[in-house]
Amino acid sequence: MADTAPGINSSIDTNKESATCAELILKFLYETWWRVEFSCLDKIPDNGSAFIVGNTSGYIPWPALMLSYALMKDKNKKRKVYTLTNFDHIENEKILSFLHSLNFRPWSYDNAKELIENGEIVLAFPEDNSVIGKTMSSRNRLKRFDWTKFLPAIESKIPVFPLVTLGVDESNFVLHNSTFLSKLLETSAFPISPFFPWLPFPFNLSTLPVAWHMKLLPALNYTVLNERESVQDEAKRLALRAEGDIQAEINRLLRTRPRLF
Amino acid sequence: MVNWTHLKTLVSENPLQSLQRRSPDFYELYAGKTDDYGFKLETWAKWEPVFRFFFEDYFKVEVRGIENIPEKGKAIIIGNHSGLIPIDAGMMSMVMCHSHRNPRRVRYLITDWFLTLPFLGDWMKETGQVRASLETAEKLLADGEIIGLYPEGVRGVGKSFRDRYRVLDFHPGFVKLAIASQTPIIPVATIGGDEIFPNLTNLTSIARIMRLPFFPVTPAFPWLPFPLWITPLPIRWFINIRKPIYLNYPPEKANDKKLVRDIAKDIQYEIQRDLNDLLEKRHTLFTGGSNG
Repeated sequence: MADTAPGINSSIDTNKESATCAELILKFLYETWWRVEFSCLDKIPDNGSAFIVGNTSGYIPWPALMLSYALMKDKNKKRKVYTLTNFDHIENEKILSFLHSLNFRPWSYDNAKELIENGEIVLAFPEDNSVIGKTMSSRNRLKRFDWTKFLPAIESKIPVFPLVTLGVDESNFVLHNSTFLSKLLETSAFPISPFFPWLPFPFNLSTLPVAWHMKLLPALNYTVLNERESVQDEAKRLALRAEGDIQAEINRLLRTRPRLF
Repeated sequence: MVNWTHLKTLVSENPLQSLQRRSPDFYELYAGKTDDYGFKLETWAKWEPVFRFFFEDYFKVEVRGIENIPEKGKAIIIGNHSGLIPIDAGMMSMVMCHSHRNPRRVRYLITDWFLTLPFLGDWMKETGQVRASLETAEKLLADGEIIGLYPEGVRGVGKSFRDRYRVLDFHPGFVKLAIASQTPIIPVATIGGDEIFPNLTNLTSIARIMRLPFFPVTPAFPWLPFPLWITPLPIRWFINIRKPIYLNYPPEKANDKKLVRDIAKDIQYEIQRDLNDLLEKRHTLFTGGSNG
């Protein structure tokens, strides 16, 4: 466990200096840049494992970092969240090491099972890499959830919570996804934004100061099954339900959103 | 280039003869028969060229999954509602009249408000729509008809442009009906309808005074004179028809509120998923361009 800054239950597994640095960055993003409004965080269980699935956009899964910071800020929640995501598209060593220090791990069935067995909270983004090139015309519309991501949770019989993030698509202002360049460079997407690929690193990772609303929805109901085939069917059903619940909540929040910035 | 062939039949031919020539199976099925709910083949025949013009030449509707609608027997078609004026029901009726192997009418269940409108109320009945009630729906299904429902209700038609193709929560009554009557449900997702009359804002205070469900402000309404404000934009439509869902529950399960709510939610989510997919695959908004 890392050293903690005063008043904060830091979950960052790294040395004191980088923990403080990361915390300052997250604090700035959470409170000043995106002014995140987080509701229903209290639904996170005080102990035991849980699986959270959410929507995201762009190269870096910012909602995971905002959830981590929200948990760090909450003095009553002495929990940390492990984010399982696909690192294939990130080659920059600095970013990889930074993400690892923030409890990010590569997605794999074994990693998920291990974390769940250790009683940890696991966060995953079942839209996968399809969100990297998500353009503004597709904003606030979810891509299909990968049902296989739900298998470790169902098999372990742990609660599954959908996490809604409104604002993430607009803050990652992607004008166009160049399929020509992505094929040429053999990447899953090549998003063109006002910052990328024009500005040098790390400015090309800039985002717009859009107001975010994050909400943790009630745990999904599912049937505990033992047969492999039935578990797969249940995972497909759960993926649709999680995706649908998040999309429906985004639709509701959009209708009442007071401001974009 | 718009093709006016269908509209030309309005002035060049007797409507019934024209329908008999163009849709012989549909004509044979309903000619000389009376309908308890006011359907008149003459009225259908008069208006069919107009709707077919919009279906084939103006909106250039592309339909996927037409084979999922059974050739015989009862079914409940469920869809997302759109368009201020519910043209979506008219387009589905065209699908069943002209694109299906065994043409049939779809009996859309409509709210009382539409039936109270002068001229429009009678016209809706005569073209096959019926007043929404559980009793009517059960009787139609018992007669082996296809009924159509929009579980978003009238709110779905009045959606603003920024909420286009964002499904409102479904009223679960259709699932109760499907279980009680042992009828398959066919989910249908439609894109195009929410953009033909871009609803910029809804003036709720005026709507309240005029006792309307909504009072839209579009680029054309209420600024331009009739019929300009009722002229839709030439948006390309896509309709995706899913496979029928057979709910294998005994009729008494229709009273299980949680089950009914859960199934309605799943169908709502499937339709929203299809809408997202269709929007992503759409390459051109207007009918003039190629969709790749």
